[in-house]
Amino acid sequence: MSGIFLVDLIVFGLTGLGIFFSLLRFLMGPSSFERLMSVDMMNIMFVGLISLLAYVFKNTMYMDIAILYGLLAFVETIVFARYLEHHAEQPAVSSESKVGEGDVK
Amino acid sequence: MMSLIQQIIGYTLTGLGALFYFYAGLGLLKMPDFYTKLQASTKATTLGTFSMILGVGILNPSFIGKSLLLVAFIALTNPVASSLMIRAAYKNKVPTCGVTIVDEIANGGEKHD
Repeated sequence: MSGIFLVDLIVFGLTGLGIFFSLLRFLMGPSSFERLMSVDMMNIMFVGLISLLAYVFKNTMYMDIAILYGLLAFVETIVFARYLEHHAEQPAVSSESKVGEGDVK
Repeated sequence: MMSLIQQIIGYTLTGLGALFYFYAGLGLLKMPDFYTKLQASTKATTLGTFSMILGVGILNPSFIGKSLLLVAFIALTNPVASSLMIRAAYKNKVPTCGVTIVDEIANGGEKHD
């Protein structure tokens, strides 16, 4: 039984690392589009994580929570993308090119 | 015996989903450009969610209906959301990294209202 617990721990650890990297990109994203993208990715990882909690706690309620969370995350992404499409402050060309230089050239 | 096979398949699918989540976070952190970041993270996250939720549905068969519903929902909504994000970014002229040479939308490949 402890081996199965270890597998659960590995799965939660890998998912938590993914969410942590996404949070890091949210904190240091150069433009607001990358912040929106990282929030969307974090929400989808949370959907998978909540459905895994349904297995661990043996409770069907968490699957309903995951479905509703996915619906709200989709609506949030749509609203923010439509807003940024028309009302973005500045394209932030200078800061974007300054950040991207170190990786490529 | 049936339960052992079921647990092996379920845990393999769940671990594969967690591994894809990890790769999605890594691609989101290390890619040089907005467009490459969005491509890497969206594809890896969609496949990881399919795998993880199907693994949960196989591990506990009383969840299989809701997990199939959730998989269908993610398959419908995730590409739409990423397409809207990349369209908003293209309209606001988010710059690509230096090595991108093909821009098919600017050459009339696709019409935006």
